[in-house]
Amino acid sequence: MNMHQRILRLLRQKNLVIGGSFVAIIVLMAIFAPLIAPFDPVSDADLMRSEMRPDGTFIFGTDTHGRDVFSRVVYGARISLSVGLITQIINTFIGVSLGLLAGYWGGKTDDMIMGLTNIMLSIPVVVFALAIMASLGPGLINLYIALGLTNWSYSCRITRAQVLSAKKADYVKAAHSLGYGHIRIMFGQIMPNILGPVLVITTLGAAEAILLEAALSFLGLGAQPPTPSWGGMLSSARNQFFTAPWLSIFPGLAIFVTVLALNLFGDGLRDILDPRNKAKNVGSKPK
Amino acid sequence: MSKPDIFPNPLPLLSVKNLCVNFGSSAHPIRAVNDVSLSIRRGETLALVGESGCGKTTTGMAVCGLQNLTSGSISFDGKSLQDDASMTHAEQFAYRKRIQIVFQDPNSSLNPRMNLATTLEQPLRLHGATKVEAQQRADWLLEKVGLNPKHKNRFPHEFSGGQRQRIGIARALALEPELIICDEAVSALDVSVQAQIINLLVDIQEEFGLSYLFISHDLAVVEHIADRIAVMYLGKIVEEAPWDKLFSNPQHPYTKTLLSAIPVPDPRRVRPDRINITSEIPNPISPPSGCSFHPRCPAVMPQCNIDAPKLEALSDTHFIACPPAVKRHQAGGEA
Repeated sequence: MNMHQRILRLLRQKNLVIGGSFVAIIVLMAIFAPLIAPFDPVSDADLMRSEMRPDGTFIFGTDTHGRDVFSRVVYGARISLSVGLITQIINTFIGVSLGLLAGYWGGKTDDMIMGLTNIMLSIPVVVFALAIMASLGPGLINLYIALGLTNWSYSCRITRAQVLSAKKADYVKAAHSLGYGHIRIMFGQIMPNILGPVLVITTLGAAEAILLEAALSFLGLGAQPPTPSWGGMLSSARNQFFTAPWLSIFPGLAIFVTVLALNLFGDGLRDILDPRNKAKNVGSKPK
Repeated sequence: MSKPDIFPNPLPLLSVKNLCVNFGSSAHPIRAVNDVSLSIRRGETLALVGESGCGKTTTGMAVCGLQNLTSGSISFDGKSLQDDASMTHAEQFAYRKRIQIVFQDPNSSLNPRMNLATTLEQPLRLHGATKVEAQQRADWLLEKVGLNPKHKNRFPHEFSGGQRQRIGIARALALEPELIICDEAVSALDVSVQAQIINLLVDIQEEFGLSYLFISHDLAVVEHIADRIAVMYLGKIVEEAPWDKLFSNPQHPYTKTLLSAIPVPDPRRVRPDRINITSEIPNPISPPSGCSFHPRCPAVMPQCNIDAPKLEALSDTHFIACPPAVKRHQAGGEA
């Protein structure tokens, strides 16, 4: 299968294409925020133009302090995406390492790690994140830590399940008889074969982390004002919901679109990474 | 096809003594391999045949260290392969590479995320070859097994089943082993491809002086490659003989049954000598008393369900575990 066919096959996945394009747009928006945003999100405050309706200059209107909502939404993407990215890097690292250990060694190691994930799963994520935030204090860095430590149980369980089936494969036995060490087998032979489902979980988890960040920022525990974060903007807009609805609608819409796009992207990834699906596509080659 | 019966080194390369492998709880173990002894000399092919679930694969896995033994010993080239203090980690590592394995399923035996170059070169690098050496040896190996070294950057799914089996053989050959365990190495292939792979195995055996432990359920295949054949039933070896003797003069009722089941190419011809056994293979958790084959044996005797038979020698090379057959044989003189 050459590159051209591969790309065509990817393009047939609507979820992946739509989700992926939106994710790409949001990522570009976050990277090029200074070029896109017409105003500075923090310092361009002017109480004379407070809570103006959307018009030609301020396409999303202005907030209580007279700052451009559009600029703040654009800059807010940086916070949300960085939360999604950093927390998922931490989550995936913890989850995959523990899952590999549990699945590969089995026995007592497995029992202990699975016990730990069961405990993690039994605590509501928001409550756990709140508890960590409460002990660390509010702030963006602490938010990364809190969300990074709370949500790894899914990737851990997925990894373990994948390792359990992958470690029985003949190529793992062959690696043993070729003299490969355990670490090399775990990371060189097994891990590349289980990353597909982990990638899906990571993408979906990023969406969840962004929602959680919004929730925690709404509660005042995330990025502190005046940093533009979507959750924080929603939080400060709740009193003006009936008088100035654009203050809540646009950040809310941004969260909605980002989470939807990440979920679609994750679903699309799951479809193309499913080995049965792949087999079907390969088998349908004309003879 | 006959091979010269000259083996310069009388010491066996591999010697398995009283091997037992149990699965499950120790209170109700499944005796997958029950007191199996066998030996393989240099350059020799020992075929291990039997039904599914008779323990032949488990025996192979135990030999190459992929299965823990319950009891018994395996020694290779005069040295015990068990984890004991007599061997350092480095020595075990060095020994490990002298026994390699070729698997049944060419789809699962190659890592789908590794291309050919990595599959073949990585183990060589691991055992101390330089990058250039590893590349050259990988090319050479691919040529040996009849593949084009130019395809080194391809992934397993881009090859056919027979080609993948050749890759598996190349990988097993990479570290210059002395013993290769072929675990149903041709069973998953088409008959025409089977013949090619068998020929390849025979060729490389002659070229490198390899020994094979050839595990199979297919006697028609075994006939073409084995020097000696050991027949397993429910975790035990019931008959062991040179291939020509086993085919021409089987003694154990189970071996006779197996041989009579080899299909003939003409569908209209009914084999008059076919021995049918109807019942299923017994459950290894609670094997039958005495000889475990007696519930299905066409020549069962009253005493068969009392004593577990032991392997007895009919001649220097022919062993069976069936006292009535031994008696018949002795009464009938040398067959």
